[in-house]
Amino acid sequence: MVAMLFDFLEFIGDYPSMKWFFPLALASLGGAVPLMRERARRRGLERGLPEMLDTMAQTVGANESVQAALAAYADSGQGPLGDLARTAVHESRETTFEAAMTNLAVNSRSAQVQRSVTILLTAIEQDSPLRDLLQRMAEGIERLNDLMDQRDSNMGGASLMMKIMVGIMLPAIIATVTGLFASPASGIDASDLNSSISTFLGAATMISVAIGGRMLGRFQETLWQLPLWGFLSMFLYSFLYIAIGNTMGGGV
Amino acid sequence: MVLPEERDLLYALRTMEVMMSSGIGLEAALLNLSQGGYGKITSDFSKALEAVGKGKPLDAELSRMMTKTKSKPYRKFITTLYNNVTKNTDVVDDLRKQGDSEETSRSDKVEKYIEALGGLPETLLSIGMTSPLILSILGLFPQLMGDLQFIDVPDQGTIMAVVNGGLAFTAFGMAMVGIKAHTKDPGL
Repeated sequence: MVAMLFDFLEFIGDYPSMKWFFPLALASLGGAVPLMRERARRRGLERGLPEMLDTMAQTVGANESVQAALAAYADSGQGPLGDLARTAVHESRETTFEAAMTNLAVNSRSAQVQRSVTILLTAIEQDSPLRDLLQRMAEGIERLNDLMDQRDSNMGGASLMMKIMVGIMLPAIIATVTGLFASPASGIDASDLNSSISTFLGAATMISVAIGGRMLGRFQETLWQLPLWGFLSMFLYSFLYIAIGNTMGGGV
Repeated sequence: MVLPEERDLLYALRTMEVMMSSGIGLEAALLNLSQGGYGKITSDFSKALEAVGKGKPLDAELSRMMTKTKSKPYRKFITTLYNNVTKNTDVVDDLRKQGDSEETSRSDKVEKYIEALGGLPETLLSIGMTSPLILSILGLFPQLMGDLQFIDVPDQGTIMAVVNGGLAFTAFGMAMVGIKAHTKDPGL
């Protein structure tokens, strides 16, 4: 395993552009992974929000207080929003309902949850009827979630296809061509061409990944993934060129 | 392309509608909007209320905002507020109608976006995959021909300049094809 790692590092060391990209790709993982996890968590909260508001609307409609409505949801609510609601119910017993809800909004780190809580707290402060309000908010958020899911499902496949085709398939195809016709042992000097192709593949893959991210509305999150994809594509090309050249390529 | 003030307009409309139908006054509702969470709308109303605090009339500030913005739906929203201030119109009903209309428009924009980007991956892949394949063979051409040059093949340096230029042009073309994903974004 250690020997393989050294071989890998030695291989990268022969390619200046990859040598530069490798640490950048590793460092960018530190930004990409937390953002991906945070988005998954936030979407989990936002998907659960209509159910929470609807449950609260039903409880308030049965002439219970809004505090009891939140407690009713906390008893049965699942997922990350259920956990936040349980924490809020616990906190509301020690402080106030308003402070607990404000904490829930802050801890959610979701604009949708924060906006809903602000509206709810304002309505409570003004002593306005909550049932209709909660129901309408639930319906509105449900529609927004449906739209976001529709965009994800329609664009997700295309985005993945672009990543795989440009980032993995294209390096493999070009490496096969150059490896077969100009293998390292053939005597043909393909170093300039390999350097150009490798740089192009890195750039093209990053462009495709960025476009795929923009299609899904996640451009900023995707920016952190670009160096990793760029490196993967460059490495794959260089590795396959040598592997194919040495095993199948004979030159002309 | 979605203007910054349009990005949060629907949320601002719904918030205003809910607050005002709950009996909250216009200025208090605007103060809520100006305290954060609605992007450009928040900063616009924050500036307007700051000016009102210094003695300028609210209707004059709303009128200034109306002339300043380039966004039609945002102008309509401010007009609704302006009419409420100057003519005491039914703002809740107007906000609800505009909110419904904005929601329908948002759904339509998403549908159109999905439709408009339907062929983008294929176009991108056609350019991004065909060109480097041809150029990689072209880059090897002088050496592959070796001594069997029955035509006048340019030297390796010239060929590499063409290959590099072609690859750079291909990457630029891919970026230009993909820019549609940004300009047509529905702003969800």
